[in-house]
Amino acid sequence: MPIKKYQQWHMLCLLILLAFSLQGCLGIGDGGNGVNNNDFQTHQTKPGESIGINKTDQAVFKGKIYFTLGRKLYVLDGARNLTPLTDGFDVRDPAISPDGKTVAFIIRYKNYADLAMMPATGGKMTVLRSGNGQFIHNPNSPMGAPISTAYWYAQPTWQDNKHLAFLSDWGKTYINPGVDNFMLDPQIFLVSLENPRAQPKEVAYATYGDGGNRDPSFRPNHPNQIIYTNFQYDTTSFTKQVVQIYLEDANAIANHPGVYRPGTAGREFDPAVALTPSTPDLVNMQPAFSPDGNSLAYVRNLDATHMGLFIMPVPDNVVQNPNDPQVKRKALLPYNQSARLVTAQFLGQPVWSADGTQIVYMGFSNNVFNLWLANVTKDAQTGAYKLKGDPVQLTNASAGQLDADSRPFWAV
Amino acid sequence: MSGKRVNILLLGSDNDAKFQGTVLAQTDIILTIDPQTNYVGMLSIPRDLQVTIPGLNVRDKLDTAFSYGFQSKRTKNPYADAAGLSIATIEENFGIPIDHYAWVGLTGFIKVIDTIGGVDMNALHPMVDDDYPDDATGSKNDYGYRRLYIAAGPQHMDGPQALMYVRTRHSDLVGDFGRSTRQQQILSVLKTKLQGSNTIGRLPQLLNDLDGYVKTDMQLPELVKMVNYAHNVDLNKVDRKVMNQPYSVPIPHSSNFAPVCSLVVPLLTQMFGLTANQARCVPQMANTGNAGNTALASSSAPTSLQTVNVSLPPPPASNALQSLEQMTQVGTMNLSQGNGDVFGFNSIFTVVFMVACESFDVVKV
Repeated sequence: MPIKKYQQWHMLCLLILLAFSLQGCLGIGDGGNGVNNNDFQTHQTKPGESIGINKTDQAVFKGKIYFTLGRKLYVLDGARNLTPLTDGFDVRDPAISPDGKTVAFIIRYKNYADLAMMPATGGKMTVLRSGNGQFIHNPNSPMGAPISTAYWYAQPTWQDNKHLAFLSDWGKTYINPGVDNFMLDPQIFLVSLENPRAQPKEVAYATYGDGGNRDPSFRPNHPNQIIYTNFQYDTTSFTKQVVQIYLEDANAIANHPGVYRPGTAGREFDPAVALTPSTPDLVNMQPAFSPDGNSLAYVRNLDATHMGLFIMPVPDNVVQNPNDPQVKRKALLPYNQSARLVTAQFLGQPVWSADGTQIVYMGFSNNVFNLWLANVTKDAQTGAYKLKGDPVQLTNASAGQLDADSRPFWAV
Repeated sequence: MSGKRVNILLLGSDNDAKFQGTVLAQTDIILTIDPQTNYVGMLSIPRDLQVTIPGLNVRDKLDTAFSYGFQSKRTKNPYADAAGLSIATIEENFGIPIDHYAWVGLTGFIKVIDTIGGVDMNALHPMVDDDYPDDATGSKNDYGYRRLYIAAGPQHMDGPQALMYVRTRHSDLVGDFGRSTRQQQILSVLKTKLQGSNTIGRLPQLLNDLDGYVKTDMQLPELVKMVNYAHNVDLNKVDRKVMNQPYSVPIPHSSNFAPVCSLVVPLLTQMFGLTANQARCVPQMANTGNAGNTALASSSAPTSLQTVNVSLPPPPASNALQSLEQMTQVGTMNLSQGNGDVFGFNSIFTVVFMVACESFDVVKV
């Protein structure tokens, strides 16, 4: 009977819908973590451990993304091939030279770090600077704590094919911060590859007591400008953090000997100009220049459980007179044009593609850090960026597998 | 919690017996609670403070009292012996009566975090420390140091990294204030993770993690009662003192410190409600005495450890986790304390964190 037949089809449709619904609710087919495992091609990283790489058209990109996974350096190319470049070392913070031939990176040990490099395709490592040292007696320590002659190196960044900047606590033995301690906070230094073990040039100073600088990188098309995150405590209560993005003439300290100095907040004279406000407890960090050097992707803490990925324009002509009040005000204006692209519990380490149409960053969902790919478009009239579609999960790692504290690099 | 004042000695150390087969107490904190006045105080005594160890007639660092007791073989329980000698040493040198003790192995803290798969954090700022105690990750030097550098920003931390993040205190302009902020941050993340992942379901593994890492003479209900009381304490009113400078000064040609008795005795009378006659301070160096009930310490070669006869009988020691495990195994469901602290696990967890972080603040997270 026709009516009965209709009821059967109706029931069948309902059952199919119910099946789809249950599939979604129960996580069937998505590996139980909200991710469709069919989208990811599995790559073994070591016996018993693997990572998925998104093979769908939504995750297409050009160039090569260098990142560390379980403290090993990997390169992921546009065809989504994942290739390990190191093994047996604790490797972090890869940075590719402008000519694409060399990768600089950090090798961490228990008490020190080495600054190293090797061909971008892998091969023999060369240690440029070793931080190896020892503990020696400190007659001035009130608690008998020793002095260490070892150094940390971190986050190398290329100025050109011959010069490499990096973070280090190398200044701790000779810089007096003006308080009863030595200056441990890592600052930015520069060396020439022609003599990498020579005394490094000071590029940016730190303020004592909150961990120093992070995230240095040179501005494309403006190779003498360097950007970084500066950590310090506020100058009023000395208990609230002021975390700002600074832009600076990389030659300012070298060209004006004795003018600038590191030390304590409010007493130092700094060659940098702030691009973000000095509001206590406001955190803006991890800046990354767009390929043309005119825009900046960065991360902001929105509250205790949310972070945002933003893009803002970069002010011009502000590094020549960084302590001029008018220049300071001018440098802060573009911050108000910041556009938020992504919000998440945790996100960080944004880097741009060479054509400026994509940003890869460390995202966090289902309690796991992964690389995420955001497509962005630039308004031709206003120059403002906005997100194109939803960000796409590029990797499918397990908890703690991807090194979220290690800065990735996107090469041509 | 009601009745008279209670003084609890919180001891913390690594416990893999790597230091010539014995265990040092790197953390010595006396928690004092006076329920009648709602006074709560925490006195941290530096491990390098020189004391006179009763029964041995030696002057040595405070942390070695635990070590000597551990090796004494007075009873079959070295931790009870160790805590007993630590208690006797504190009472002998400072006149502070100790009612209970809790010893926590830092490795337990690390194991708990590793069992729950680590923690995901937004590190508040870069942490750099050249003098971090190398006492929890396989060092062979009991007074060793290691260096650390933790990047700022979102990241995953395993047990050892999380312990470093909450313990490091050097090179931070705001010192313990910054450390306390970090501790509250990580503990908040941890407790959320523990609640979200069904603590009861993981209890067997978590108990296994802490097995052997929490020793106390307190019964579980007493421990829970103490932690419950602590939850209601106004943190701003907790009296925190560290017996470092000016309460102690370096002893020349030594890595030890001597108490400045003229300052220590008033501190003890104020914090522990002692009379001037009850508060003691045994001078360890000339020009550091002259106050309170003091006596010049004698110094001689250590007595054989086997013949140590401490006047105070060692308190009974129990492995808190063993009793907890037994209770869970027999299914005594009435052990739920009515505050979500099923089987008292959270209370033990809180004590572990209090000792690992050397801070009372963790009870409020």
